[in-house]
Amino acid sequence: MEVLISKRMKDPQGTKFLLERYAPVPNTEDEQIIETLDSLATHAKMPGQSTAAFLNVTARAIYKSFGFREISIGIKEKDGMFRCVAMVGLRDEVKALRQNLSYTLVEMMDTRSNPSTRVNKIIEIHLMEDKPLKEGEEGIYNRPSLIGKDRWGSDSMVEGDYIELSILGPNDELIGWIEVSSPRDNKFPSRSTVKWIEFVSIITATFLKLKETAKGGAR
Amino acid sequence: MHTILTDAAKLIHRNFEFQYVSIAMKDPTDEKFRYVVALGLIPSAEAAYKEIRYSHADLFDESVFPSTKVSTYTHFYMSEDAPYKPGEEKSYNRPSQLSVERANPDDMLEGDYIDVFMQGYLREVTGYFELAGTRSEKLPSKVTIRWMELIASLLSAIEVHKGGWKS
Repeated sequence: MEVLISKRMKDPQGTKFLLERYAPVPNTEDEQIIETLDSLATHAKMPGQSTAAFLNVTARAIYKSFGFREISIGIKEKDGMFRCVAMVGLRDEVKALRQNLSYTLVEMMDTRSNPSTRVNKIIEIHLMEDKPLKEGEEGIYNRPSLIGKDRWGSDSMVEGDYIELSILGPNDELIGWIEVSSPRDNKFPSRSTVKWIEFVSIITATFLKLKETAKGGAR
Repeated sequence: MHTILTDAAKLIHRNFEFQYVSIAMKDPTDEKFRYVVALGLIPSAEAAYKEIRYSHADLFDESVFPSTKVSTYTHFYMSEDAPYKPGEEKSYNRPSQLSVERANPDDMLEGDYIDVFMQGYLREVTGYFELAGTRSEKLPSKVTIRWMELIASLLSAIEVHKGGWKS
């Protein structure tokens, strides 16, 4: 019996070692990002939460973790039109204007009027040079006075550049998009940052489809 | 949901360092936790696993399963503490090695295992991953544990939306 009792006593040195090694405070950038995504998953569990509220939390998570100052998330709504639902970092006038824009699937996929470099099935990079500013469109940019300024280096990201990540349904159909722009260091993000945001778009797709299945609607 | 759990276990087994990955879920009919997926175990150990049933009180009974809680989700069970009930030795792949002494604090021994708990919105436990036997025979890195917690969190969010793992 004595042997059994002594075996059942926790080793204080071993416990101390584990508590120090696995302390919850994030030590690395990856741990910080995982913590943010974990809080996103916790939000996703919230009963009765609207899709718009979830997407706003998602946009704030991207803003907090990946160094972009402007984030927009749009989804396909019940009428089949794509509209911007969550925005972070944009001026109020820009938000109001973008909220009123709607696009058909054909418009969303139109590469002629909206040229881009496709990296994979989820990621497209849009460069300012490929899409000159049209009259009347100034209002959709946060800092229109900077449109057309020279790019100072091949990795510099300027006003008018943006990265668009498709939110795809189970059959790879487009159900929304995440747009990120204006990085804090004014440079294109690293490959790992883009992969992390791609992961966010997959998580978002999963919960949009689950919500749609549960409620029979998208918003 | 069972397919999603199986895929998650395969993903963990393939991409992380654990040799044994199992997932237990709370059965809504009797409120007991039972293993629904087990990967990497020899057939006799897998059969023993599938027979196990724990109530919530059993699961967190520190007199039977002494553990070190390192975060909201994760408990470490170390072989020195003999964290198993009499007779459960059969659920280990190599029960003869349960008494091997730890040479270094970061060694992962046969009797060590880690439970990462899935929680609902009110933090109620709905299931858990059980992870053991790293290929390096060392304890997993901290970022690996954070990944396990994120996967558990995402699965529990999916479970909430699907209305339970039996859906």
